[in-house]
Amino acid sequence: MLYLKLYLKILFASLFLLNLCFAQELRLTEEEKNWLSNHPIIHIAHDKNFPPYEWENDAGIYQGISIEYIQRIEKKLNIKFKQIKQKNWSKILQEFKDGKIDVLSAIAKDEKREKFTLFTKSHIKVQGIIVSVKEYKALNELVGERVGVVNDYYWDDLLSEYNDEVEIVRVSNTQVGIEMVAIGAIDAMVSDLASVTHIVYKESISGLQFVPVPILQEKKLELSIGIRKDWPLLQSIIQKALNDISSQEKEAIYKKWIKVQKVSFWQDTRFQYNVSILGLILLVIFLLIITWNRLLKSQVASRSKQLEKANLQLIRAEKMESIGRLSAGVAHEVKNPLAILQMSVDYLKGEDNDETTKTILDDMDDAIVRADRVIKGLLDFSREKELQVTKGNINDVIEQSLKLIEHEFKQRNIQLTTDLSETLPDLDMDRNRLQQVFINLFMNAAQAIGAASQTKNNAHIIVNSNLAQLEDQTLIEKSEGLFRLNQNVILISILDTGTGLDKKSEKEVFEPFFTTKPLGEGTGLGLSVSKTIIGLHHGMITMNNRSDIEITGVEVKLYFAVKGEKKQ
Amino acid sequence: MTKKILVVDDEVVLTKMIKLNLERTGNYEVHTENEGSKALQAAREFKPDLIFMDVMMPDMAGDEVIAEIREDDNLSSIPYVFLTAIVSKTETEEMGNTIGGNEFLAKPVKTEELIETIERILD
Repeated sequence: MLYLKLYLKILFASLFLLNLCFAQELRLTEEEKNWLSNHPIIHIAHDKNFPPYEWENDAGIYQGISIEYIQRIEKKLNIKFKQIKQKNWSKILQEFKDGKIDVLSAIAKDEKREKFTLFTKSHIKVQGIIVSVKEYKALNELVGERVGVVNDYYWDDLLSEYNDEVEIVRVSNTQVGIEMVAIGAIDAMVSDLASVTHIVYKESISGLQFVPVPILQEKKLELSIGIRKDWPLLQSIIQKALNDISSQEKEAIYKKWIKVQKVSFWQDTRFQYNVSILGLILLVIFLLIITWNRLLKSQVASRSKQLEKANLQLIRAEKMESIGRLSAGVAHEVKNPLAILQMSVDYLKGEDNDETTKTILDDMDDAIVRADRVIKGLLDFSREKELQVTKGNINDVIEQSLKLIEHEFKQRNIQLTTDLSETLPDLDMDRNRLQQVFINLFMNAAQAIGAASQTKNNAHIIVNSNLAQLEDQTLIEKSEGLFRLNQNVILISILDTGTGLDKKSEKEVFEPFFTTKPLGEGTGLGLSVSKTIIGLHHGMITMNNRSDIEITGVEVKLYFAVKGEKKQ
Repeated sequence: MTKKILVVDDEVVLTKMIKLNLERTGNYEVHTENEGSKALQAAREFKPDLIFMDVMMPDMAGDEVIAEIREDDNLSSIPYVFLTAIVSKTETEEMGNTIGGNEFLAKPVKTEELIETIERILD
């Protein structure tokens, strides 16, 4: 019950307010009401020939959009304007200035006219166009042409600004102007869309182009009711009456009188302008999409490559894993039989044997050794994963490794030169593993020299270690992110005077089971393992032919990234 | 005088062959044992001059056996050499035949290597 009361109260309150809103417009003040009583005669003038806004028809009756507005205003104010007729618009304007006419039913507001007129808010908006036979796309194309305007109309004022560039021809009314365009007496006419289409339609004039021009579009012709400057009260009265006309009414009036022949919209330069801008934007977007696409494609390609690579590495790692897992068990299972075979061969060798048997037994010996090597190599290979890391100086490891290899060098008459920098910073490393690597590399070097020639007196191995800065771009790229430009590295180089590598070998040298040694002498796991070990130390190993022109041989380089400060 | 060698390895045929080859030289008397757990007892009974011990045996690992033996004061001074199947190329050739201070030989081992080792240690 309480809610119902509240609801009703709100309802009535809103209705009251609404009523007020609507009633507001036509609530004339006492002053205004008095003024109207005191001024029973108000002179008004209409343009004789300004269809569809206002014009005199054949029967002498004035009609049009503007007239309809005036009629409604008269009704609302309960008054009747007194019409004054004149020959033409110019005359009307003159009489208005002289105070003989009080109200102009339709007049465009401009600065010039503001001097002697009070304007209501514009109630009729009109779009300006250029009428012509030949197509003019913009106002500036009228330069040097004969352009018609109705005398003293808004367009006259507008075009007067271009007085120097355009030959302005003033005509008495819109129809005359259009007809002059049609017969070619003038090149174009500037007028408004509604007037022109009305005339064209009525007079069945064809072959004309209508071009709405941006500049004219912006300066839409806006018609207001004009009131003499010394009657401000009348201005507010008429304004109130105007405001009281509903938008439905306005639309009805408009539709009654405007048979707008739509100008083909693609002739609209503004439209064309917009379209081309849009087209440009679309083109740019299109190009962007294409480049983006290409970019993505190349990224996809490189990612695929990376993925492939990673995949291969993974497969390899898995293979190694499985080999590793097999090795321990296999090693044991294979080695015991091998041991038995060895013992057996040893025994048989101790017997009295003919030459054939001796040879056979020797071959069996070799075979056992070979088999053993493979197993041992596999074990090596499969043990790569874990490092036992301590900090130390890599020169120590190099020296220790050289000690172990010394006798091999002496045996082959190989001269050894070392140049190990004393200012190398310490490194986190697995000494045993690195020693393994160095021994492997030194042995390779020695064997390479041995293979070259036994009697060479310039058999030489050089071992260097120093701190360096990485500048080689290709190397940095090869490092796959391990090194950056100008990275400080410990660089160790081992040079031999062997035969060097052929092209094929250079590429495959670090592959597992790659070997240049004759059958039986090497399983080919050494370098592959070494590379892995170096990799685990966050380093890189390269093996190329020496750059010296006169000396053949191989140069092995080991790079280890240096972090932190150099220790003295 | 013949030197007494104890060979401990689970591989029966192997120990048989080692014994055969070593005794053929006439310099050695070889006792074989195929079970790690029984090696301590065998050592006590045989009192060898040197022990060859396989590392990987199913019942007991070789280094455990050695540890056991060395706890016995009577036996603690006996030199021993491990025989191992699971050692890599690196560990044999390149690191000298010691791992963790212990002497070892990698299978398959030649008879002459055995003899060389024995003579080196026992002289």
